[in-house]
Amino acid sequence: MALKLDSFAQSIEADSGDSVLLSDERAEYFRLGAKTPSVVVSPADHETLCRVLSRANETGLAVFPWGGGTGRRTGYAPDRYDVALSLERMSKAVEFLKDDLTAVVEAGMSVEDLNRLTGAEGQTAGLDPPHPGASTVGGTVIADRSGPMRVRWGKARDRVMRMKVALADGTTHTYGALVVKNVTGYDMNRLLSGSWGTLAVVTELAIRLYKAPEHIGARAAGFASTDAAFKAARALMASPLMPVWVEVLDETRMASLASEGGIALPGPVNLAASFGDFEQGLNDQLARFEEILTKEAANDILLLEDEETARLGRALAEPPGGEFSDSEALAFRASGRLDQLPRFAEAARRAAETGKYRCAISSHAGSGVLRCWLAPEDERSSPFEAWRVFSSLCREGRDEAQSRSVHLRLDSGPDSLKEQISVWGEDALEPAALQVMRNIKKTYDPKGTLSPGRFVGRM
Amino acid sequence: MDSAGFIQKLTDAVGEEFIHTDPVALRAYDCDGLTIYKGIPSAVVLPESTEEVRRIVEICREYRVPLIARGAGTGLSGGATPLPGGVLIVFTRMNKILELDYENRLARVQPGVVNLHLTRETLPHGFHYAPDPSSQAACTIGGNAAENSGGAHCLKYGMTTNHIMEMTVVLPSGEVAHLGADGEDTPGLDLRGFFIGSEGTFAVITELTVRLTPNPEGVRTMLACFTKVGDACRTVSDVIAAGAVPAAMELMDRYTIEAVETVVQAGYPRDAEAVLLIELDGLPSSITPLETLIRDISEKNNSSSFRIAQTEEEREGLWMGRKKAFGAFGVIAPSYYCLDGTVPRSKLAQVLEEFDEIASRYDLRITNVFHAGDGSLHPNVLFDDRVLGETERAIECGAEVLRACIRAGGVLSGEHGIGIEKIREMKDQFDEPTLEIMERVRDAIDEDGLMNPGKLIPDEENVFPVAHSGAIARMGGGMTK
Repeated sequence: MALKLDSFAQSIEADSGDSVLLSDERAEYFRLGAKTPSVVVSPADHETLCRVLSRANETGLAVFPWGGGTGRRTGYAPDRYDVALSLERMSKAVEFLKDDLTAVVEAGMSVEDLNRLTGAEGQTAGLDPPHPGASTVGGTVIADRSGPMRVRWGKARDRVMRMKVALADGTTHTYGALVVKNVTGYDMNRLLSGSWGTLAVVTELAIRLYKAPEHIGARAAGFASTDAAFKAARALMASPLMPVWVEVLDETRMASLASEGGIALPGPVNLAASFGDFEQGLNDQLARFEEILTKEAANDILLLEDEETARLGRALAEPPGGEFSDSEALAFRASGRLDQLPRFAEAARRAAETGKYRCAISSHAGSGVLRCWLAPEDERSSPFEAWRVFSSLCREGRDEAQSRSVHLRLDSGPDSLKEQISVWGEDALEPAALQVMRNIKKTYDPKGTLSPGRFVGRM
Repeated sequence: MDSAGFIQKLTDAVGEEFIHTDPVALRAYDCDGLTIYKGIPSAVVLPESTEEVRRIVEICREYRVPLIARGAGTGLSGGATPLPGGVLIVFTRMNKILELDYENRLARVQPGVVNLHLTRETLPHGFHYAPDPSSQAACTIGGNAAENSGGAHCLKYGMTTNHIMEMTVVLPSGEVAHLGADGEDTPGLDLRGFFIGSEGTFAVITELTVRLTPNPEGVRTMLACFTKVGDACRTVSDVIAAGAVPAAMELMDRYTIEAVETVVQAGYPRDAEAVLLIELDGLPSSITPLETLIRDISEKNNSSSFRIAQTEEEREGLWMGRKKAFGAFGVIAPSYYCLDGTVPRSKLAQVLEEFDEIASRYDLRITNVFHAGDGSLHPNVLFDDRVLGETERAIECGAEVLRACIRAGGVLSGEHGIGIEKIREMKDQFDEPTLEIMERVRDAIDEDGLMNPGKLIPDEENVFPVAHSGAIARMGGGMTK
């Protein structure tokens, strides 16, 4: 293998003129689980990237595409890991068609840079992954990392109009076109979005944009119980109002927002929702949301102006820091019908208690997604016990069909836990569906060159 | 093949009453809304459950007989036209709404539920099912999922794919799988999203969980008239660029206005070269500023008149013209061929000019009535099927129109799908490696090639011959797209 790697590195260096062999320190940056790569390549353009892939594929090397590295803690530890394929040099805007509300960018552009580009024309991509300065547009789409704003703008995969990709053997494909409505052939953009680098490497994307709202504002209200906060969120979602985000937060999550973002919200359980509209519409939406909150027995109701709303929106997209971002911390996610969210929240609390963790909970309450972060209390903390309780309570009392429709995922946790559980929640998939995914993987990447072992079913 | 044994097994699977093999009965199912291509199936089966569908798939697999799923047969690209000798699964009996969950804004339905029936059921409870293909009074939700159908209001609300949470499907192997979930996140590849719009070539859908949308509180409908088509097109791009997202924005050109006014008198000015029918919905407080914005943009682009419907009756009148447009074409030509290429919105004026040029080259006329807000065109090639060779000329003219859309950075189909109709042009749209991966993925899912063969991807083994000249005519009769 060492010989293969040397020969690969030499050929890439000869081709690109860049040094690709790694120092230990640099290799550490690209760590996935217990493994670090032997080589990192940062092609400057699509054609070079195709040649790199083709050579790696011929040589039998395992390649992991790398955007901003913000999803590095998600997924199984890789089976093999030889090459980190960084998109850092492919970060340019290709074309900004402001009249068509379309931005064509290289996949390595950061979400923050995309926001800057589109924001200058009063437009938005509606993408709000965590760490937007590091998260790349390609990584956000390929991991389908959708934040609180998904309730208004849809998921990251809904933003993609066209995608240029390189397959493991170096072949180029282009899917979609610069149109907002397209049923021409199979929807390959959707297949690739959320495939976590297992099918192909995305190098360029056309992103659908929206006009950013003229004005934004939010209300945040305290509720006596989790059930009451989620019930009010459901009432909001059943109304004709159009929130940009709807979040339910527990006290620990609120405390982290206060200490990290300087935003104090009323509790003990908080429901916050923002709106974007022309001035008259915004005022109307905020007033009517207040009516819902009052009717649902909220206690303190806070009004947030433009700037505070934007700041809270950015803070909500970030996971809590401090002890919740340590290497021993866990991050769980559950998704289901909106009325299941209180059960998921209770499951998170019980999981923390049993597993001996401190817990912060936050939920995209209009989208049926709950996330919780667990920080170990002491050396007795058991990640497996916490996951066991969380997963069983989330599905407790459900029949087979209902259980299948509850989706669980381990966003972050130690490799020892990943060895024991279904990290991607694939235990809820029927074998036939998993087999279809495996068949598609084999079609795209028959030699298993791209991201081997990391994704669903360790494919 | 033991045909008698095959039919007997199908009969055992669904019951004697629910299988047709009589040639006269089969003829009723020989095509969908694209009538130029026809195929007589060997049997039509009408299952009532996922288990019966599973059994049918298993039998077809055993005998290596292709199978084709059909909802209401309203599709316009031949997606539900049977390959001769194949088995057609018709969902007329699987038409139940299984669950209405307003708390979670979800409905669980069988694939044969008619699109509009779900909205009618949920409307009094404050919700509707947003995707609204023009055939929504007849088309089924299963068919909509297979084709990823659009509609006038998908400009604001999105296509069918944005409204389906989960699907139960029977795979070519005969196994049942559930794709997607009640919540938004699901494990692994997005097979739900990938199977939607796959035109029945991956699996047979037997149940769907769909999203319900709260009803808008207010609706405003307006008509902007122009003496130049280019001005109307610029108004469309300017409105979108200004960030206004109307619920619908429909453009009709002078031929369409002429036909409509002759038949239904919708009140469109006959001297206009184009009219824009624009509808806003949502909170009244959010609509009002948009109304002003759209009026200003229309005036800046030289609108000759701008009118807002003041009553529900007036609103219905304005929509009546749009809805009856296709039927009205009969007064200006015996036949028409409706296409659905889609282009970037900023290219609308350019391609419409090119359509005129193409039409004159073929000595035919092209009318345009389409979902302008999302660049989703419906050019209609008018022709006379009684004139020898004119049908073929119309088809070639249509192919040129589609190629013009591709040259403008657009696509062959925004709504109707590829089916049989545009299968030849797929090679114009995609390069060889991209088409090849689609084919290989299809083979990976359906290794025996039994799911709706001869559709979507160019396939030299399964070619549908043109049934007869003129059959294209009136294919849109009663179907306002």
